[in-house]
Amino acid sequence: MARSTGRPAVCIATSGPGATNLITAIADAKLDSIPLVAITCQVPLSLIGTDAFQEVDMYGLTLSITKHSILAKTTEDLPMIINDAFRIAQSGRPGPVVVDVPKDILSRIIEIEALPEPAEICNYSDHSKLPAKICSAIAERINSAKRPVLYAGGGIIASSAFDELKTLAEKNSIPVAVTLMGLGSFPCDSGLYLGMVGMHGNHSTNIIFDNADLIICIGSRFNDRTTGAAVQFGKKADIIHIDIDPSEINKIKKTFISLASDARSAMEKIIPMIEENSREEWLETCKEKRARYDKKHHSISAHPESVIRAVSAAADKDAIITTDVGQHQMWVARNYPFKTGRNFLTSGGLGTMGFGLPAAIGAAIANPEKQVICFSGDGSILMNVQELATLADLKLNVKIILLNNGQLGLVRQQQELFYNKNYIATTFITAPDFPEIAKAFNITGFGIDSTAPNSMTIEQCMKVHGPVLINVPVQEEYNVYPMVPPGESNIVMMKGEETEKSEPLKKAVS
Amino acid sequence: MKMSGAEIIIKSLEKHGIETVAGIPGGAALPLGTNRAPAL
Repeated sequence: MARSTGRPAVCIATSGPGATNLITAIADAKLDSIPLVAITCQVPLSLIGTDAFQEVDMYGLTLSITKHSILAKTTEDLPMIINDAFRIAQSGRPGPVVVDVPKDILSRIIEIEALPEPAEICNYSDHSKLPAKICSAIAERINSAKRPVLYAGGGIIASSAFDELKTLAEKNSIPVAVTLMGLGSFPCDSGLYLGMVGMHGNHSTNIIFDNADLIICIGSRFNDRTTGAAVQFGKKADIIHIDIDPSEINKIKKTFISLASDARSAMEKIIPMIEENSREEWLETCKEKRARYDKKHHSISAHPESVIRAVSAAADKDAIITTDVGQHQMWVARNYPFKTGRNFLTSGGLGTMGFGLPAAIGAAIANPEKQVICFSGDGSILMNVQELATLADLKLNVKIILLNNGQLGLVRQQQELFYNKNYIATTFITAPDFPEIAKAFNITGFGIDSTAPNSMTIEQCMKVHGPVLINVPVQEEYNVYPMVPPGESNIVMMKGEETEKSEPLKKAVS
Repeated sequence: MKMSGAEIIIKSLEKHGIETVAGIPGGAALPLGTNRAPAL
């Protein structure tokens, strides 16, 4: 919900196992800087520390995966604590806050005059307060660059800096690459768009970054999935880093100039000092790299990349896309045409399998007028398959596209490429029948079978009203390419030319 | 006015514009589900 609206969302759990079941979700929100208030209930104060029934120390457990954890000790403190939780979750770099409340604190009745108004959020959005010297130095360095690139992350989306990024890029003709969290921050149909940079980014984009003399990183944090071997990343370039969190500056890469600011305020201040430039030579070079290094789209209709493009063609233009984690996530990130922010919801930092379905349910509740599409894999959906019951109860407009290869594919891929094809714990020996699982939850389930003459197409399945699960068989040999081997420099990319098979799919699911 | 801790939380969430919460129910969370929980 928070990812699709930009506003904080709330989850509540009972003590013990209820609370520990939130731990992964809280860590997920921390790594992706998502404003979340998690209220966990606790055993009564007098029993804390006695190993009471369903007691676990949530305050201690969540300290390292939250912006702040609070244990309420009196009922009188609750109004201030809830206000603080929202203020902290939204201020500066967003993130999760845990409020642990013992049962007797919840039950106690007190005399109270009035609840306080929501606290003011400190969001640094006043660009007049940014240091003028640093801002003009950044503008000068951009103006004097010969081969600049913009590297845009989730911070663009968090601060809704879409127009500013577009203006900055277009005014000075700077190509824009995005991270997984930054997808949608820049329109993919712009001539300046380079797609993703990094492990599963475009080969050309990684080469362009290697040739750049200036990398302008805004709202991102040089994660290893983006940089590859960080020492090699942008080694011919000066680095400008703009991030709301000063602790990210110089953490991974030494910067030439840095500015601790939210993305929008920084760009608002810098754009007037940026000169117009057409950069014909540099843009021509980028175009050549793209033509030379990037492979054409797959022509095989059963390839997941083709399936994703077919789904995007059939989907509403403003559909919200969620993914789980794995090969399907990378195929979606690489192939779905994202034009606006907050319509791609994915677990970026933590890589949480099981994220897609509950995220789709939240997005559908928060955006009842929109279509929500959840791309998942057979491995991922099983991690939270019980949420099909919630989906059925609420009858939400969620279409689940299940790319089913019978494998934990991205792990299998690494076993194939880097661990001598020693496939351990990555194959589903007994494949579940997912359309039947959906039907058991009272959700419409379809199996796409390209070998059957009268099989429904994805487009037809997606037109069915209400929640739908569409199982799409995928050959297990399909890997996500291109790929930078973990720990390697980004310019070492495996392209993995797949043999085009014309025989029918191995698995036909009813 | 008199309010329970649970009521304070729910009214505070409403003040922050929260209309929907996701959750896992259970023993310790029971007071949140009633309009006025009995004092322990």
